[in-house]
Amino acid sequence: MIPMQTERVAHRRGTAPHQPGRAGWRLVVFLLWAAALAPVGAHEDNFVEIRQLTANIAASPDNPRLYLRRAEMQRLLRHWHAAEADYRRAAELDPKLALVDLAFATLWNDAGQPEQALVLLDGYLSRSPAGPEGYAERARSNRMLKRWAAAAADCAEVLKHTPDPDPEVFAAWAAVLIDGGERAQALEVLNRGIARLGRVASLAMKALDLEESMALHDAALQRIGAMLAAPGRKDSLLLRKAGILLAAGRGDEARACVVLARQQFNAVPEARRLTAAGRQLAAKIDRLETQTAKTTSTQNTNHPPQ
Amino acid sequence: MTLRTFPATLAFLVIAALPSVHAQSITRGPYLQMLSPNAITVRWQTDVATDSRVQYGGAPDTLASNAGDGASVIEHDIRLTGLTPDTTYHYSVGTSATMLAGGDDTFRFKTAPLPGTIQPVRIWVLGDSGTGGDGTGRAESVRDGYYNSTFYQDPDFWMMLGDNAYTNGTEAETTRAIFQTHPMMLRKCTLWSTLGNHDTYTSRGEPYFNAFNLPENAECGGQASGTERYYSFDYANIHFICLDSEGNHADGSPQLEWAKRDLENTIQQWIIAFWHAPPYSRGSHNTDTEPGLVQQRLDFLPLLESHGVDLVLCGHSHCYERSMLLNGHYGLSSTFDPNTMALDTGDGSETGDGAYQKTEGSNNGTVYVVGGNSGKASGGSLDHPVMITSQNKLGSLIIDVNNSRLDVHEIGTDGVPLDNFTLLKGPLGPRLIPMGWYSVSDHAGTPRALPILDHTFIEPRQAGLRRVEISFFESVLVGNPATAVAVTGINAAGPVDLSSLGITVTASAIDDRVVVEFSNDSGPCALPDAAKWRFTLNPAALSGTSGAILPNGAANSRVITSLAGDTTGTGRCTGIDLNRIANSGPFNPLDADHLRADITGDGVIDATDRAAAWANRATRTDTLTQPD
Ligand SMILES: [Fe+2]
Repeated sequence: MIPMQTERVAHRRGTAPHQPGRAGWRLVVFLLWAAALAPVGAHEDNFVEIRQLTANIAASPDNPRLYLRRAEMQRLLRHWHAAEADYRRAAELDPKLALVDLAFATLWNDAGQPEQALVLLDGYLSRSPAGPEGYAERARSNRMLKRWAAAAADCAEVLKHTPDPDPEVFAAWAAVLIDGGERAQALEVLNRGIARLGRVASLAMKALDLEESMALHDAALQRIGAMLAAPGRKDSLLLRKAGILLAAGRGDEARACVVLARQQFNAVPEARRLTAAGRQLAAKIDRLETQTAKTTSTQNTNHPPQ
Repeated sequence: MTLRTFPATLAFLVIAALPSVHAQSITRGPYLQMLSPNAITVRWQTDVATDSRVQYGGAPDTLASNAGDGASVIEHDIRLTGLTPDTTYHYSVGTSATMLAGGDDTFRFKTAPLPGTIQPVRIWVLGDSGTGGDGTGRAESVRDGYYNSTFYQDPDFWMMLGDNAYTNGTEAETTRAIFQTHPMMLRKCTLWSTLGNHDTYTSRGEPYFNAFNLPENAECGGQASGTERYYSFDYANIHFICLDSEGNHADGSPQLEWAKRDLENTIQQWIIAFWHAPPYSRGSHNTDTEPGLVQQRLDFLPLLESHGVDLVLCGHSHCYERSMLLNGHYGLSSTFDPNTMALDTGDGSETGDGAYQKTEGSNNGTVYVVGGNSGKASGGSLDHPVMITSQNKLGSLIIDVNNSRLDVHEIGTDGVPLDNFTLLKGPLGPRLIPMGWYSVSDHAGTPRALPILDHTFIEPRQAGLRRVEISFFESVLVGNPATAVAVTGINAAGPVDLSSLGITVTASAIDDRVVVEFSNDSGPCALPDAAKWRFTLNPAALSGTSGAILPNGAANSRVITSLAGDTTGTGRCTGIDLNRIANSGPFNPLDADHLRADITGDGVIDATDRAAAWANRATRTDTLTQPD
């Protein structure tokens, strides 16, 4: 097992590559442990490339990029020890090659040792503040350490340094905020993602979950109304809407919405209804129909069902 | 795309430093992306930055419409909108001043039909084809194997299953393995792709994302994913969902949340999923021992199977492996129980154990294909227990979908199929057994033997099988069908003897079909459930008017025939894809659903769309004009 690390240890990669500091030795222990546990499948392509890189290194033994590349291939093959040796050699040849710190930090986080990763990442980010990877990895460390505010700040930096962000950037940030109990802020982040990327299904569904959990019924109904206006099947969305209406005390509208959901479901072609998911949806419709039959509206509203 | 502006900027800086003006030429493409019923994206790359212009229209010499962009770039990216669905357009590309490519019949595209349209669809699929142009000839032999096969026809679109450019997916490797290896296909058929691990090795996939335009915002159907790493689109009656095996696919991840929403939104008849690293393989990768693949199987498969996904296409393992009809196998291969995790353990071939059928009151069951063999064949133990076949051979896949029928053929480098299987779905009803595509060349009414009758078919398990029709298409059958058909059954306990069950088989000829029905003392009855039934035809007992017969397994639209010497009579050809007849003037479609045509003259029907349809009149020929 990896020994528990309680003290922060200075990173000495650049100064003593062949004599790893305490963090380095612990990493060696981890690498040996990981190598023993991780079965290695055949990755023919990686082996071919390693052979090629080895030949290239023989021809240009002082090129740090070749070692870095081979280290990445070794890491993909889970040849941890060989990867570490190549990372160290690359760093020895070019002490400014900050990527090595990032690679080690990733390994420390993988090993459940975020404090070790943080030391390396602070150093990495002081030298390479322009890319998102370091912030993303540090957000991971901070999240593991339950330092929610720091993790959220790192997520904000990830977005700032990603010119073409994908939904993952916003979802990860929102997840950190939710873990830290900041649901309203998380919702803001998701809405920001939707404003930036368009009506992305993953972010919209996550936002809907949050609105429901925060009993923001009007906001949830507005969101689902917009989704219903888009082309495509309506049955599952109508059912979801019925659930929100029911939670909002609008039983009559919920009942009407369940009726619509059933109509829509029955109109779906057989190939899509006769699936496990289709049967689950039909069962949900049955359940909600029973539930809504027992309730009446506690609110008197003029909202028509959609 | 932010990334796409970079090379242009770089090129601008380089060009600005040049003392004289460089002649413009195309270094990639033109190629087609993001096909939809009303729009398509035309891309090309030039050696120097220029403005962009696409001219397009109904024929190569009438390119009356145009679209363009005044920005000076080397990655040209023009979206044509307002197009008519299911319509062929011709195009050229260039600058506002000069046409750089186009103007002949090879520069064309066909817009997608509207979602839900039922018509024949052909898809060509390559996996791990990134060795193209590496000097070994492997990817080229796969390409030419399809081009030279009797199956060849232009696909409606084609797909790459990742690892499209070995070894590191660099700009240069991408140019070599994709654009220099497939220039003709790229200019006329839209290419879709999924991200492979090797495609990510250069700047986290920057050259890959530079090369491809993929729908982030539901531009081609489906739900908006917000990323080109995973996306979906519709084509005719098929929904395609592309997943990302190289990214985060954990439970609750944006990818899985999106996929769930996307799958619950579609009403398409078929769903085909594709991504790079396979859920089941024992080729150059082992899905029992690679932790990422073990986890990915758990993440993806329960969701896909619960939504009735029909077919899964993956690469990564450099071999061809194809499963039986599966449902619910998510553990290691040692836990595979065919009795509970396979819905049909047969080979899915109509000429073998019978097609896979998804008609028993559920749409369950998925066939998994590993097709990472379009550039390398790298061996492995090739013994995964879910697989019907595992082969260490180079090849590519063709998928034909026609209404409720989906046929897959794996084509080797010699053009010969390495594997064939069929999926059928639809309501229970009389079961039609097609005798394969064939045509009438003699419609004078002279009875002749039907040489393909020495053939057996096995029906897959089917509940309540009351009536079977064996179709000979437009033939008129004579003889004694009552003695032409023998029915035998088998279940887990062994052969089923119908006579001991008091069941009598009757067969009669109605038009072009032999109708087989069953009865007992109480009258008409169904065959017992939970057995497979074999219908054996006795060729000696039947004859009819028919003619040239194509080999079994010939794909639709491969029918080529002629009528000799009769320019006034009416004959019929079956199996002709009317959409692909180059000169349809003399043909009068009788029944588009069944792909029949009246022939009111003699001549040659060429199923490929670029050949002269009426060359070689009055000469019988079965020569297929190969496309380029
Ligand atoms: Fe791969």
